[in-house]
Amino acid sequence: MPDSLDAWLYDGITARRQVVRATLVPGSIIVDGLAPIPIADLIDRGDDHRVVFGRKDESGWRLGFDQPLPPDWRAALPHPSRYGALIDRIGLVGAVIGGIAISALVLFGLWIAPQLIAPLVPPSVERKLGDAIVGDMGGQACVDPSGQAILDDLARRLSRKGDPLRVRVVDIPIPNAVALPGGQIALFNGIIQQAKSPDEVAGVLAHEIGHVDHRHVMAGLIRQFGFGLVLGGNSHAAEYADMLLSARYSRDAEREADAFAIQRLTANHISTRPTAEFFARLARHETTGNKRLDSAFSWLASHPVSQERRDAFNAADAKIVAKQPAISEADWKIVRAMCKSHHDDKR
Amino acid sequence: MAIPAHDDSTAFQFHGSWREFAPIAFTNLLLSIVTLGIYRFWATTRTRNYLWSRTRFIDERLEWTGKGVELMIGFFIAIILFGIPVIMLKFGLQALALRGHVALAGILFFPLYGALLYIFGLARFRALRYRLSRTFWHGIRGGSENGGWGYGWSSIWKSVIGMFALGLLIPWSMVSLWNERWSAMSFGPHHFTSRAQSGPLMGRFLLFYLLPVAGCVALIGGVATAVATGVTATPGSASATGILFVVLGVIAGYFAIGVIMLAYYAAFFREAVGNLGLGGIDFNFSARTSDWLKLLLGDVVLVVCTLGIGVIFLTYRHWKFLITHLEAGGEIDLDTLTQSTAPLPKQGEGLLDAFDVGAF
Repeated sequence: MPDSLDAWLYDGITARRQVVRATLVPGSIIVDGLAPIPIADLIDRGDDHRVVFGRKDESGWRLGFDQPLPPDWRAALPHPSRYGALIDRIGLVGAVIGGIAISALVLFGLWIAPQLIAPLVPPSVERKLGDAIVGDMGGQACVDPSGQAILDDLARRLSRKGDPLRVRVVDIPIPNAVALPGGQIALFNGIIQQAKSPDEVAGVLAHEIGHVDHRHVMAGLIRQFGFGLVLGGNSHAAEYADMLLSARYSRDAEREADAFAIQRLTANHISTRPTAEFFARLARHETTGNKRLDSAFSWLASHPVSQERRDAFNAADAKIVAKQPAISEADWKIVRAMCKSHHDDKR
Repeated sequence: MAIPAHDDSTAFQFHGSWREFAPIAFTNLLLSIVTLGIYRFWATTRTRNYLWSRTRFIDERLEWTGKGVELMIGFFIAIILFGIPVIMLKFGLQALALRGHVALAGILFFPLYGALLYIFGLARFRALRYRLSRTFWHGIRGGSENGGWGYGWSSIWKSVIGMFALGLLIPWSMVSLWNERWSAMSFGPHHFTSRAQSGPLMGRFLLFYLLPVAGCVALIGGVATAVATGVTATPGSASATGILFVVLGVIAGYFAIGVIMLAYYAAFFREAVGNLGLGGIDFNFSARTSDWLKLLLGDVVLVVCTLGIGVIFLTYRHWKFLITHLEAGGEIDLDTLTQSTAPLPKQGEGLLDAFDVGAF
């Protein structure tokens, strides 16, 4: 068993390669002409093809061996890092399993946490955020004080106390409605024109107010931000997640918004059956007569309508007493005409 | 020690094999996926460990000593430095414009855009500095005493000048920035010298301006042919021929732009590396346009045939291409090649990561 081996040395000061003898003693290695080097200061810088050690305190210092190390040397000297310190310790299989478990937890947390954090965001902050993102809707909003007053009154009746709402009609001929950050709700003119009664609009509006009331919009924003942050390095993954997550609310969120809508409509003696019928018409693509336009941009695209959701609205209808229209016939005419002047302005 | 100038064995040699690299590439991919991408900093480090260790310069291998954690810290710094101007450009200005403050948004656009350009230049400089500072040969490393702060300004004004005269000064701007960047770098006690000229590149660069002319000539010729055939053929087949002609023309146009870009970059790298020196060594780069074309077509075939998995081998291919075509001549005195005194930057090239461009 040799206690000393031929080796070569770069001292990290000049590039000259020195031929040396290295001797292993307990706890350190002695290179002739140098003070003993504690093994704790050495790091393995070799690989399958060669045996090289560096020093933690001197970046260019290298001690190399042109033959494989005897087993007792190998056992005494530090081992090479393969995947990185942590993964080397737990092994590749363990690291993969652990990685999957932690990643799943992180993704689950990113999915769940926003709904818990969102209610903690003060409405004033959300309002400012909404203003920053949406602005004045690019001048698409239809300005009509009398119609606006009717809608504001309807929204007030359908909301719970303290819901910070700003409902507006935008001049886009697609049957859609969206809840935006800061309690802004945009009713597309298409949904008003294609509704057969004001009760249908009231149902959709109540549903969107439900999203606002449950802070779903803020939660969606936080979720998008969180996933963007975590997956941000891999931009493709982030874009994909972004698309998946921002396009629609979760099923639970839809159910919550529906329950809210049914409860508010019932409290205001507004029939819920027209809303169910409206869902059915959407599902049959009968609103614009253009299947592609409907499925891509309509309310249906962001709020998938299931039989279950329709049934919930139909079932609730039986329990509503003393039904009355959401708004009077005269007011409905005014609301339907809200975007007329906007059109005329443009022409 | 003298370097064999025109031997069979060149000063730079690559000894890697893709079979040896494959386990590294696949475990990197696996670990990156299960860690939601966080492992990629260590993956980059492992890849470089391998590639550097299989690269021989004269009598000794290169050694990469960078760490994953350095790249990760660099990446987080990059997110903050780039994130602020990008978010302000994207959302802040949009919000201002939506509220009618279009003029203010317009005024703010320029300093924000300038800040981005500055950071981009800085990032490019510091990535090169980081890579040299982590590259060892004979126990000696490279680096730069310069932090690159001045280079950031140069990259702004030289890029702006490059836009003058219909972009005719772009080669000057690229070459001048390359010279400035490399002249600030050192290895051991020696400074790099970089004396590339833009003159030799102008011929290739002017091809970009010739292309529209050639395109117009082809279009006129094509229309004439279509009209000529249209006289005898039925109207339907004439318009089909026309559409086919336009499609082929567009494809040919894209291909022509690609080839001209390659031809220009091939010339740029030959000129830039060919005028690079270090101590008593002169560098050269031998790749011609056809070599670059083969490299890129090989990349495409590799990625397409493996349904995208081949992407993990691209770094390997590109490094091999770089080293195979890199040559050096001259002499090195190992006794006077002493350790670099340039500071060791603490964080990696995260800034450049954000732009996904090469560091050289």
